[in-house]
Amino acid sequence: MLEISGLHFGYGDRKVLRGIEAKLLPGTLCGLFGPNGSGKTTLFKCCLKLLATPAGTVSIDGHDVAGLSAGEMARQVAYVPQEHDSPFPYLVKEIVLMGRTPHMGRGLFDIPEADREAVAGALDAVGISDLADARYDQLSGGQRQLVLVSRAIAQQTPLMILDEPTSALDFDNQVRIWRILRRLALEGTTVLACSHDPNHVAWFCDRVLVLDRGRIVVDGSPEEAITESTIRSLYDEACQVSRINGLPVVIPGFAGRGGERGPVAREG
Amino acid sequence: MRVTADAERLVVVPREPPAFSAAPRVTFRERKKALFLAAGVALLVGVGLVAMLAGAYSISIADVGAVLAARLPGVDGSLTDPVHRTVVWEIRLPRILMGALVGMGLATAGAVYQGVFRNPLVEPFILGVSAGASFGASLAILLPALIPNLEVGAFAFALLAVAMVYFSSRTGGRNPIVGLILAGVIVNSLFQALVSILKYSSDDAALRAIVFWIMGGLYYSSWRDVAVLLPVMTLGIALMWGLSWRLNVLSMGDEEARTLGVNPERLKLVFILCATLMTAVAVSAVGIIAWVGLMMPHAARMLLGPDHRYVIPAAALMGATYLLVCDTLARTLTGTEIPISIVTSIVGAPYLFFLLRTRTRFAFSG
Repeated sequence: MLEISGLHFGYGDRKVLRGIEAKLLPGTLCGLFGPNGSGKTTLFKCCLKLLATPAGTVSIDGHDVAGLSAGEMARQVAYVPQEHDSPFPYLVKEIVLMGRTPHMGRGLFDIPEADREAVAGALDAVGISDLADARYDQLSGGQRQLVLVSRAIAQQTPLMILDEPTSALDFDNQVRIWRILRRLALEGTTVLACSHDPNHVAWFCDRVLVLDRGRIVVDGSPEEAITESTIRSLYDEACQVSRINGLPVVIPGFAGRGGERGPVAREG
Repeated sequence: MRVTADAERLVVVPREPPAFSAAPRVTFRERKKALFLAAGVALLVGVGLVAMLAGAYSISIADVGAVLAARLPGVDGSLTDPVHRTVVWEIRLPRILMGALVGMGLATAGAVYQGVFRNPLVEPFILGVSAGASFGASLAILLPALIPNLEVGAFAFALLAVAMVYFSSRTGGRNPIVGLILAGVIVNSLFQALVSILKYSSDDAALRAIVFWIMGGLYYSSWRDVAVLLPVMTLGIALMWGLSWRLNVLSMGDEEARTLGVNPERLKLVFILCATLMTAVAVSAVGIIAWVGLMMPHAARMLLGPDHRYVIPAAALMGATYLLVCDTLARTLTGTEIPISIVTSIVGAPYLFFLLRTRTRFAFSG
């Protein structure tokens, strides 16, 4: 579905991506995991043609993105950006309806029934039907993320890319979003989502790409990717991998050295 | 299923697709908004009629009707009073049409600029139209041998100023919004300085003419002006209205617009070009009229919400009505005419203060 080969990118002299190779099969929920500044958002923006790609190719469903128009791209891939602000007080249902833009005709004075249903369905899928008439600019950061996920669902594309979709969400909503992504993948959508949290990618994804300083250092199942050695290579001794009920869980390390990296010591 | 054993434990995956039909219906209040627009048309016609009757020369509705009816094909117009004919047909009607067209054009251009620049405090003159036009008009007043036609001079320099802004802010095939706004500030101040040089070096009569032109007014409205403005404004507003859903998408920012299937660069060019043409034509015909292009899109948004499919027609109707009211006040309040920008500003300033005090949250974001 998504194929990236030999992708390099830099802002001026600062190299951000150094030769990315990846291939996603349809219906995969792929987690992109990496520390701050590793190039996750830049990689997404190259895939979405938001940044010019000086070297390498990105193709979606066999088509090189360089040759696709904005409209063709938007029918192939939906994007959930990191949380953002809207300058105008749009209502949630209007924001979600914007996801239908690539499927609409040019005029749009009368919203087709199919688009209304897609909006209603997308709001329902994320569980925010009660927010339909709320003003987007008055929502909390977490609610906005849910709206943006809902908009991407309304776009009904075979590929969905999400940039930190759970960064502003409470624990319950984080799990809710990942479950929605699982369901989308089972229905055949290819989902690529990045996260700072190794636990999320370990628990919910089919496949994990670990990005470090512009290179994919690990590519495999969560079992293969989120391991003690991967975590150690990224975070030194700050974390370690444990298991709870068979699930891998990344917890703060107990390496000691005065306890400055370990969990809060409860003494006396 | 490609689910790992561990994930299976945590994730309960429903096998049936999401039940779209069971989702609560989402309604968009389109009928109510359409009714509002219809009421706006009725109000505009009503205000136009009042403007037709108001003025130094008093005339009855029946006389107005007779003069207008005489224009219909197959009606003998020779029976109407020639004074009535002059007042209604040659003076008031073109002036009313000009007021409506200029108000419509400035308000629509303002709504479009605000959407494109993602900032509700933007006005149609942000890219240098007014400063460029002032310079062109001043040059035509001072050096009629160089620029024989004032309107054409103002129009040409208005477009030149915006072209300077557009091309100087272009980097790598794209026009970032911050670059456009900064370049607009630079070009505005450059042309204002040039106008100051011209003012400084002109004699009293020319200085007076420049100052009056810059204050704006509809005194000399004629059918010739209407013939220029009518096609530009109607085509411009129709095009902007047709693209208004895309303006919603564009107002989410360039990157998001692209991922939602809209090419932001091409669309920005169309919007800026069209809004600039409308503003330049209006300004070169009647001078610089303040506030309409800033206030009316705001008022439309407060009444109908931010969806540009309704903001654009509502701003056009309200802009036309507002300018018609202000122009009628300008020519009837006192024995002589007050320049219209004075009226629009005095009426507009309190409104803007109100806005600043109550709507700061989104008046300054973006």
